[in-house]
Amino acid sequence: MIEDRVLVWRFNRGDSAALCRIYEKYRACLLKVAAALLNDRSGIEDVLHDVFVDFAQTVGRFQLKGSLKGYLSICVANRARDRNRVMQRRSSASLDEATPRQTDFGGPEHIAMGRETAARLDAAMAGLPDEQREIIVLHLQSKLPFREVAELRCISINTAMSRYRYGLEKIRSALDGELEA
Amino acid sequence: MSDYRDTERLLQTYLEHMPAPQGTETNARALADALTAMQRRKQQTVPSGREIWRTIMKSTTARLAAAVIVVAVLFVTFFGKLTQPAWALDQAIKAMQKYKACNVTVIDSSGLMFDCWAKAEPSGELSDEVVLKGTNGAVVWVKDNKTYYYDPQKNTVEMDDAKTAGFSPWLGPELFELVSKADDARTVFGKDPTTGRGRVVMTGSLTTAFGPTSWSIEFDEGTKLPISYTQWDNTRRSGTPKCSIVKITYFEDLPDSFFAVDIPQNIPYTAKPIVLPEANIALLANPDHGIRTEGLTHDQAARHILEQVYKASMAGDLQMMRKLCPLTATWNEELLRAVIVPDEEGKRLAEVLEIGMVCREGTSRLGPFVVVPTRLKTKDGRVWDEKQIVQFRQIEGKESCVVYGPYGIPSEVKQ
Repeated sequence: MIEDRVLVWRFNRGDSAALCRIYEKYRACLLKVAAALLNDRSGIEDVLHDVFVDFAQTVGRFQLKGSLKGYLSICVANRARDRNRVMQRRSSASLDEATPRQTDFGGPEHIAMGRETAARLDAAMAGLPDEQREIIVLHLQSKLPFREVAELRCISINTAMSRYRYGLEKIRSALDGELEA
Repeated sequence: MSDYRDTERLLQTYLEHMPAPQGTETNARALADALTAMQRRKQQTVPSGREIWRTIMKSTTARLAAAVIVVAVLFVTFFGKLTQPAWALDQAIKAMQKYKACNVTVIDSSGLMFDCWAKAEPSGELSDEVVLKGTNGAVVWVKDNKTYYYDPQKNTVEMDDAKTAGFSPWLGPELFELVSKADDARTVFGKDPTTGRGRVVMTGSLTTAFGPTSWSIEFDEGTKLPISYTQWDNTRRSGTPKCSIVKITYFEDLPDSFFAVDIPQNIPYTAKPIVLPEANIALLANPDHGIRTEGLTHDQAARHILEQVYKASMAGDLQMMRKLCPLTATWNEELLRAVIVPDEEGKRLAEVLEIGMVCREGTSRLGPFVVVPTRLKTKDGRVWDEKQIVQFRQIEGKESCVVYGPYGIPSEVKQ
């Protein structure tokens, strides 16, 4: 946290090395957030690119209120949501051209987990409303506490926890349904 | 899949192992575009002097930090053992002797950050020139034994006729010797979990002329250099720290250009009021301390008590010192002796060359106080200028005075 405050301070003074350090520090985590939130994973790097370019333009006036990781994760979530909407409109316009979710760049861990399970979870996550999916990803993957997610989203902590619980129940139902079938 | 927790665990595994692209080319593009965007933005937003001024004036957080110093212990997460301060400080001496300049990043209690450059006097015992630049535009600088506080919100520069910002002693072995002698001094050994390097954290507290103070200083066990510092304005190391030094970089020397100050022209300079910390005032009110002053002017009384103080110092009379300077009554004998009668023979007071006339006056809750300049010679032949604050009071109908303590850091007279 202290390191982030120092980085933000240096960044605001126009220190390129600070921006590089922030990028290196959070790149991997943010890519995973984008991967978990996007229906079309070909856009992961585009999302990260846009988030960092936008962030870079705040130089000199960026004010860190929570954690830097939380702030950047929310930026990724916003971008991912916008992109999903655009892609959804496109696929509605032409169902034949709908893009299936791509999971081809899976690593050994992903293979170890089981492609089938991963594919079912992909589908279950894709079926969640955006706000529930975001809370799950930000809490479980970015390790943000509910309080911070609630503050970043300007909702109450109870709402954040409810969304998380409903999302989890839907995924469980979806997985149970598949098992029963 | 019937259990809620099972679902949560499965999802956690799924998300933690979420595949993500590794393409270094796109990676480089994103970073390059971000850097370009940053540079472009900086060029677009370089404001005129007038705009900078307006921005600063609007800042609600614009204010000054008077004192520096502190060390954060955040990077030390576990400790091997807890001991009395038996750590071999002499090992630090060689490592630190040559570093007579430093750059530190300071965060004050409000979260405001300062970039600080400091240089020691040639003796390497005290700080000399210092510049602190705050992210809100505030600037504090020490030059020619004067300290200037530029406050962009008030559009003024306040001046202390002494070195009231800086390090005394310098970030070196003497500091750690003194720190280790504080009443509740503790030295804790541990390891930095990130690098595996040994860390030593020293904590303690002391009532100084700046008020009650406690600290936690972390330094590298290998190089023996302090790497961070946290200071509280209470003796319990509790609450929000007064300031934290989160980064220290050492230099053997720094060019003068690092101490250049750039503030708007035509700003009024005014004398900075001297404020004695409220927490110290009660320590000055004991009727058994000090000397009677009936029939004496402030000049005469101040000269008289300072003569007695320096006489006690030269004689190593700690009891008299405590009577005349009540703040030292809160110090333990070892610490007081280390300050008054240093182990190094040459650093001991040898002669009082001059006690000057009152040069400044002020008022505390107890009554008026004065500042008196003095010139002293130590046994090694060096000559020092320092200023002492003498507090006057009327207790139980009797007039008396005590020596409060130094006004600023002493400075060596270049001969």
